[in-house]
Amino acid sequence: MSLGTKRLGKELTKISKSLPPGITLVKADDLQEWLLDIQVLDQNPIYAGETYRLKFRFGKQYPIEPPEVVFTKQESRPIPMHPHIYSNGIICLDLLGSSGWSPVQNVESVCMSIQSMLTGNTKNHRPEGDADFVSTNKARPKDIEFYYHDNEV
Amino acid sequence: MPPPNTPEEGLASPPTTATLALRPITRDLEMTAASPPAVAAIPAVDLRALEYEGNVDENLICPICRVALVAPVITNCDHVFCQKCLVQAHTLNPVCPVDRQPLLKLSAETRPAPKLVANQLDNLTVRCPNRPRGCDLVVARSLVENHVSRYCDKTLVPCPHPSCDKTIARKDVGKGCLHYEASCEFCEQAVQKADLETHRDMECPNRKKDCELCGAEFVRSKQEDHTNECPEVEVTCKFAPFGCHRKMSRRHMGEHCERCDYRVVGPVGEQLAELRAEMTALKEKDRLKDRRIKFLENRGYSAPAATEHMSDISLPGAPAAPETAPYESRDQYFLSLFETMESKVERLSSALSEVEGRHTMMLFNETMPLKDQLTEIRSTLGVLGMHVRWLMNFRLQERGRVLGGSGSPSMPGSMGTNQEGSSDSNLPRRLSDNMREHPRGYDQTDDDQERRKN
Repeated sequence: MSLGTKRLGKELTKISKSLPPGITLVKADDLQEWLLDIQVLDQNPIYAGETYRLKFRFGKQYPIEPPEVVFTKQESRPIPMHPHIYSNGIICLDLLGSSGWSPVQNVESVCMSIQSMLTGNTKNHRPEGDADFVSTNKARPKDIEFYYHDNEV
Repeated sequence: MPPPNTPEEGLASPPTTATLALRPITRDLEMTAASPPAVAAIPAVDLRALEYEGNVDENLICPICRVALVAPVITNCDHVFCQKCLVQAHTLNPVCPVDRQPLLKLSAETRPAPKLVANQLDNLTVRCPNRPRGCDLVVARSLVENHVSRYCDKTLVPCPHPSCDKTIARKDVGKGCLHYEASCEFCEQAVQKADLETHRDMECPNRKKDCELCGAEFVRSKQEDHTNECPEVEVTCKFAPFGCHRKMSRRHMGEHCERCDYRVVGPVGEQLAELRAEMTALKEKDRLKDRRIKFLENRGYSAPAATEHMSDISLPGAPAAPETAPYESRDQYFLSLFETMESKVERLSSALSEVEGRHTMMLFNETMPLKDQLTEIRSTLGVLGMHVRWLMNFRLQERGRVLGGSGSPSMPGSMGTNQEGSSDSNLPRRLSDNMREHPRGYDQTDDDQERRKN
């Protein structure tokens, strides 16, 4: 068993027992792709009452390399409005890039980071050039070189 | 402190003070260097795959692999990781995974974690990785490797058959190659002979069987165990030896025993049996005593002969036997022979110890004066040395005075004085040399040195 599968197994046993409020485990049948639902718990008008679905994909190198984390769109699970979240679900968060990732992070901490990123947001719009990006991007989220044009959000 | 080891374990167990500091670095090297032959032998224990007994302290868990630390290292920013995890994380991003402080050169900015941490880790108890194969041992982590590689009889080792490349549990090594198909007696499935036992107890679909009598489910191969405890099996009354012939299921037996007519007789009978056993023991004892008495009586006659020839170790052989004939049987004769031998050996050993004691005393007595003489000689030597030094000084002073007096010493003249000096200085030297009994050549060279110095 490799480092990654073992650690994922441990994480899974932990989060199936308890998760912070607003985060629920939806599906974790294997150790490659997990689905989690997150909600923004405070009264932020942009996200109130909505539930969003996150899809985690773990490479062989996890946790040395970051997992691929995107929002997925379903009937009752929209993509949240955020200046760092593209309408195809790709999240622009330094934590999830190779340089910002740290093997100390885990699924729970990533969910909490995304949760707090939504909580703190006040701008109800997509990133600049969203339409272009969504139509042209073929690269995997991990390989995209994001230009972090603002750091205050 | 790691838990006490047996001596053999102590040799192989890693956590000794000296090796521990090196372990994080050397272990990986060893693993890569020795991996091709290691495949043939027993694979190393993966400490990360172990199952820990109880909860491991959160502080001893590596933040990267989330398992109790293996070969811990500490960074300059005081964060502890497994050495392997940190190396992996470092190749991707040269910062501390916890606080992102730059770690440019791993070897310079990390060091092995304190011994205290290593000891705590070594003391964690883990289950033997062979648990699925039936080893229930729980042992300190520092010892598990040793247990698996040397002692655990469930460890898979290479098959003893030279042309077979499979592995087999250590306990079955003596049974030859077991890698052939055998069919399970319960499910008719073809199973490797080596795995048959595990199959029978854990995997076979028909391994469970309902007891015809009590209906309880049990593993077939454990039939005997079940029969011994099945409540419906017919058993005889425990007072059967005293006359109760009732038979009934074990379930009712307890009840019966309380009301059995023989329960009064039972304890008395038990006591009787006890007494009988005691009596047989006493009888046996008595017989032995008898024999001994007889032997001693016989020895009374042959004793003078035996003591006279104390050093004679030859058997009180056949010729002696007819004279002291009244042995009842051959056994007794040999017994007496044996006892004679025993007493002889006893005498010899006491004589031996006496001789030993005498020799020790002798040696002691001889070495003491030698020691005294040695110290005496040593002191004489010291005194002589003093004399020689004094004479040398004296000589040098005199020469200095002569040189100063003549003003221009000519070569031959000085040579002459030298020769004289050396022959003069030989006088005390010779004395001491004779005392020390040095070979002639030795003081010759000494003299040469002396000359060169002058």
